[in-house]
Amino acid sequence: MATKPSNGIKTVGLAPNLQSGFYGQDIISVRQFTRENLAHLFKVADEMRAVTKRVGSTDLLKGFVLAVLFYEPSTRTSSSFVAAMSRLGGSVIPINEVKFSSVTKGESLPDTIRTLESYADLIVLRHPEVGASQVAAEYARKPIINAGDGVGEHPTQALLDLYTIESELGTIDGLHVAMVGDLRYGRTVHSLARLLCLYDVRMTFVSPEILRLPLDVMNEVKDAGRPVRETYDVHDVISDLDVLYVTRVQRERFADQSQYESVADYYVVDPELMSKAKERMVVMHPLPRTNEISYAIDSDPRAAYFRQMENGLYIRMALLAAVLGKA
Amino acid sequence: MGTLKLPGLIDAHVHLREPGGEHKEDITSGSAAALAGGVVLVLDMPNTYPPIVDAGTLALKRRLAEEKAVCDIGFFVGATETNPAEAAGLAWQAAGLKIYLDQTYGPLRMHNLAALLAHFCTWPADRPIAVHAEGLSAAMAIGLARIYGRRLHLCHVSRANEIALIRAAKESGAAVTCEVTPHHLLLTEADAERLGPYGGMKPPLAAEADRAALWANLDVVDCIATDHAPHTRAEKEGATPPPGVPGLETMLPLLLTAVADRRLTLERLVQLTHYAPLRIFGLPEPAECWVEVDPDARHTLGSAGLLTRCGWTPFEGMPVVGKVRRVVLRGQTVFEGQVRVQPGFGRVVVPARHEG
Repeated sequence: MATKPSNGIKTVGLAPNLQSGFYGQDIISVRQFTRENLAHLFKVADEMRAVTKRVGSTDLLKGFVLAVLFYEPSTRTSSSFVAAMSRLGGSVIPINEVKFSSVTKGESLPDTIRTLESYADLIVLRHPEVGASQVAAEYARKPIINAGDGVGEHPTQALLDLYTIESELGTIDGLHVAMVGDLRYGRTVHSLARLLCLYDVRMTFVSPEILRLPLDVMNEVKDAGRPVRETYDVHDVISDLDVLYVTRVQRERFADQSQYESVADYYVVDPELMSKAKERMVVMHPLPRTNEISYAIDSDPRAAYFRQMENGLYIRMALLAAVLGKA
Repeated sequence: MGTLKLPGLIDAHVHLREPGGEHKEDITSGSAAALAGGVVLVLDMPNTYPPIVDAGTLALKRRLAEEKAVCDIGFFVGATETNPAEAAGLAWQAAGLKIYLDQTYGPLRMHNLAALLAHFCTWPADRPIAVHAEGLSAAMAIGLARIYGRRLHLCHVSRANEIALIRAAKESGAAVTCEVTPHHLLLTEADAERLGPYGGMKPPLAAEADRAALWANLDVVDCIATDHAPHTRAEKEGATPPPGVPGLETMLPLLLTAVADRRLTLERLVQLTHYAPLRIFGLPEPAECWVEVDPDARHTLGSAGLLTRCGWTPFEGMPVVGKVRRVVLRGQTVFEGQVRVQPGFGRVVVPARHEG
């Protein structure tokens, strides 16, 4: 039985909003999560879903300010955080157009962070350099949430992916999960694979040769004792899958465009493929998608990618509330 | 195992010695010692010089605490022969009334039946009366509590017959609660012989059979409180050593050792050191507050590094497992290796009034 990544905090007798272990914490890496604190976060996310659907918003974080500092574009992730904070009654300082801020005047990341934390209670950061969030967290006195640092981690995406699996299928243990597409540069895949190691799952990695999962992630999965295989063709495993997690092959990650062309459309999830899949399983995608999932799949009940995106709102609401000690 | 997070401890019986005994301890050093022991809220006893027995002295104490405390603090009002009405008027600013029915360190011994009855009649029925009452005095106090319908809290219960009396009182429906100290749970008269004056306190350490009875009847015990009662080494080694031992910094490691020895569960520890004192004294839950402990850290208790001004412990040399790493109060790290906040961070705590 593998040992789980150690966070190793046990709580006894604490009020629920202090139990999660997230209060005042930086959220930098999926390595901070345990089955216990994930279970707590998912429960809170369920409550956030219920509240949002029923009344639209709450005042749980009224008076708190979130700074959203994005050095790289992402409408999806930044608007999800803005919406999450707003629906909790808090306010937002959005800094998406970095070219208009003092960053382009040469201000360092630590100084930018230190300025923002005078105004805000916590900071969400997306940055193109691996490790930027860790640097920010070391300089910051307020909590930092990593919204993606280069090809490093994107922990909130992994959280919403895992939450989606649990919401859709009722459990995570005992599942066969395949990740398809760009496993080399796809940080969502790296984070999700690491988180899945906490559970009793089998993983299959499906990709062309040049986009195989990096060795360090593969070794982590193996060290966790989870059965793992690699294959080139999703048809090999489709009939056994509980989760088909599809990623886009990202043009911007390729220096050589002819390399990109050679792998861009090497698989498509279409009705023909889905006819071989189990009745009860889910297709997920971190979006945006291009050709890799056919539009014809969208109405298939197993297509969970839009519900997955919606879950991003609830998980981020849960995380913001937990980090501020309100859930 | 990693880190253990618990609710901040509440010590319902301490003597911070201010005003009047600052050479032994003061509010700053005593509250610092509390934090080092994972204690976020202390209830301070009134037997100071001057004693806390009226509005003026309570206000003085409050001012001192607001300037000097690094942990939160509540106060008992002391009963005298002449203050039943005035004390009752302060009931909602205090943790409770304290009556000394036996002789101990300090000027507040209750000798007078008329005054005692006046206190039991006048003090509000919904606020607790804490008593230093050993042996026969305990039986008397319980009787009065029954007659006058008051909530009685028996301090530092130490004898088998006392705990048996309390069990019977609870079973008869009396509103009686009680506390036990770590030193009565872990030391006996044999240790008192070994420790000499450093093992002297009121009530004194008892026989092994009494100690065993406390453990055997832990279900009757409501909370654990240290009766932290520091005196300087010079005083303890003098001609007439005053009674009392410190305990704030050592309580949690000793209790965690008991958990490791399977004498106590963590859930019971949390009840005994957090939820029960809050309930008994009607105090508000401290906000955004917890203690982080390394439950596996083995060390030996001793005088080195103690924050209590008296600088010694009766548990010198005792091996324990469990070390306080960090204490958070109102969302701030107040202790991590050392006290991290300025005097005055601690707040005065008064009972929570509930409407309706």
